[in-house]
Amino acid sequence: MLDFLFSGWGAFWVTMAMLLPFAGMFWYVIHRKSVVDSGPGTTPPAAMSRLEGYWLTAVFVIFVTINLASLKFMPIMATAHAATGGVPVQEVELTATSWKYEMSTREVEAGKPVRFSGRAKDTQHGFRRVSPGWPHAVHHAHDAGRVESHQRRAYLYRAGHLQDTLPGVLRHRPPWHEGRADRRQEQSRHLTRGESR
Amino acid sequence: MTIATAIIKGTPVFGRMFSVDKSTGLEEINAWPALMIMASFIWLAVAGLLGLVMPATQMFDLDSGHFYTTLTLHGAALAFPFSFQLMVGVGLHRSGGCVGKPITGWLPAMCFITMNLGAALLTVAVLMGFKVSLIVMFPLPLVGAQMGIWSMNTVILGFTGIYLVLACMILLYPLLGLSMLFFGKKRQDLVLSERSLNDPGMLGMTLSALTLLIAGLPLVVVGTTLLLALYGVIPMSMAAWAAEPVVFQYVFFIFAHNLMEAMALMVSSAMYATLPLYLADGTRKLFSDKLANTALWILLLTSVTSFLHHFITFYPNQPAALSYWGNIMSWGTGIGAAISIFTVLATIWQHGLRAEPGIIAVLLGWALYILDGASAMVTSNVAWAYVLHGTMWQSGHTMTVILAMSLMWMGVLYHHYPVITGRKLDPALGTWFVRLFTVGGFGAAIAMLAGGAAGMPRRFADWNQEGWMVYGNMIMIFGLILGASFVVYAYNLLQSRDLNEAMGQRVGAT
Repeated sequence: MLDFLFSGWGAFWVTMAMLLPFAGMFWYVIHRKSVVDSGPGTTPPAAMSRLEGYWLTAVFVIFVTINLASLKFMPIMATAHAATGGVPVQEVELTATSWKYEMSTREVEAGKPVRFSGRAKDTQHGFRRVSPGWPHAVHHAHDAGRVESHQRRAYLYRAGHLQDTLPGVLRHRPPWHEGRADRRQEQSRHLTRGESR
Repeated sequence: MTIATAIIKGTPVFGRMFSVDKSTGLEEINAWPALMIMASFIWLAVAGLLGLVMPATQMFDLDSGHFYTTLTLHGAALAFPFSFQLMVGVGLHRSGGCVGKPITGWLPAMCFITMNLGAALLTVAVLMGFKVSLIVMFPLPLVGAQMGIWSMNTVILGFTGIYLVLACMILLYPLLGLSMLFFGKKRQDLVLSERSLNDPGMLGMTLSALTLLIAGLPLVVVGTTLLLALYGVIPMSMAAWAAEPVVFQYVFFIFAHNLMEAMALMVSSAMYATLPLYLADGTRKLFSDKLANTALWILLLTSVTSFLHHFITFYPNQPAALSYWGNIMSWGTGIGAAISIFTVLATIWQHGLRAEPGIIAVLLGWALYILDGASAMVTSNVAWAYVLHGTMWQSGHTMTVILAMSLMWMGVLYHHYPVITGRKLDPALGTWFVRLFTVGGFGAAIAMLAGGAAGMPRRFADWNQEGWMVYGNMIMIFGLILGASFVVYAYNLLQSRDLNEAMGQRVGAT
């Protein structure tokens, strides 16, 4: 349940869960007080104050609950746990340049945490990780080659989120290349060969 | 006749929509706002056409270069010369009428010139190949030049345009707004609806101007340094600190994030001022001014540092503690929104509502803003940020916040339009505008959020190849409905009638 909640579609439905009750109340109040009966309301001030208290308490509790539940799904939290828990971390080094990437390994052991450390060799790039059964994450790597400490990215994922083998495609997206016909053809060729963009 | 009035008069089509009423003696508060509003609608027309090109390039498999060109122009035109300029125009008109001060002199003129000249220069640069994201993502502009994707001249031209736009937003407009609020002599003949700073309708305007000024100053320093280096006034070595990605990106988002919050404060303030005027029982009072002001203060205090959520996925470059702080503050803005929701609905519940198109547009824009706020909070949570960052979710959020505020300002404009032009709008057309905008705005927002939830990347020209076309088609359909709503709005402006004319007796707008 929580696994779904903190996925992409989980985010969508949580957003809708916030919108729909509001939209229903919004429509009801406006329709009721502009079409059905636009006269002054007869709700006593004390009742309005109570309602205000209930509403704000409910909002606060929901907000806090959602954020507390999200803690164990935060990659940086998992990184901290792994660092302090003495669990051996499997290191995967990524090196990216325009239209391709290299990985130190493509296989990791299931059930153990993995740290991806990505570095772009030529300039600033974006990349994302796609894996079956796990919503992809999109990350950014900076203009590598300039400042090492600034350019390294380390992401540690919870062990259960990884498959036996690494995701089939690591998509490498250099946004400023987009739109060039020759690049596009090159991109198609890479994809055909199972390489990155 | 002021120069602003003369420019409007000489502008074809759009000039007819906003010709200034000189008969009331209010030209001094009408002229510059009218010109800015007119210019914002010209940019809207440009941005709307460009917006349709994006999905069209995907559907008809056109050169994807067009996609990135139009994407950059569409985003930039909607955010700054349309949405922000519309806010400046209507907001200044509100200020002038509330404090009884004329909107004349060099400041409004410079506001208008810097915004529109800057946007025009940026447009030229983009057409020359400068395809950067709306959020610049420095050092991408320089990297593009380094790699030969575009020339350094386009970078300089584009940066000059951006700098002028920023000068309007960070310096000129806030200074103009604050000078009107705190300096100069009040003229009773210009007072339309006097308000004090304790009024939520005024407090938001003040907080907004201060936020823009304070949050934007670091970017002014960095931008000025970079621009001076690009023009060769100072050696590049002296600008090296400003060219550090971490410096530029942080100062950029300290401003850009708070720009959206400042616009939200401003438009919330406008809603708090406008809603009471449409209450059915004529009380002209919010449910609670204190509660409304509390919402504005919470929004201000939580939003100032919530910009850190833009860098959550930059871990470990951004320390985890700052990401958590950004997460918490972002959800804190939701508390302000919850108070605002209660205040608005309680006001309507207690006093009834005269459901005219203007106020309904304001309220629906606000509802769209609530949807956007929910999507923003979700993606500001550290766990969800890793899933949604860089997807269409973010584009949907950005577009929705701009659309929501635009709808609210267009609703407020309904209220101000008769004062500015001496003419009134057709309520039936106004209702159609609101209906179409609501369907198109909510539909496009939800379609883009759904695309992001499914993993559809942002700024990506191969929707079909990766199976995202279903979301692209939905965005296109709702985008067309949005476009239709703007056409109806524009038609209504063109068909506006003299205040003394009965409906059905159309007179020439000029």
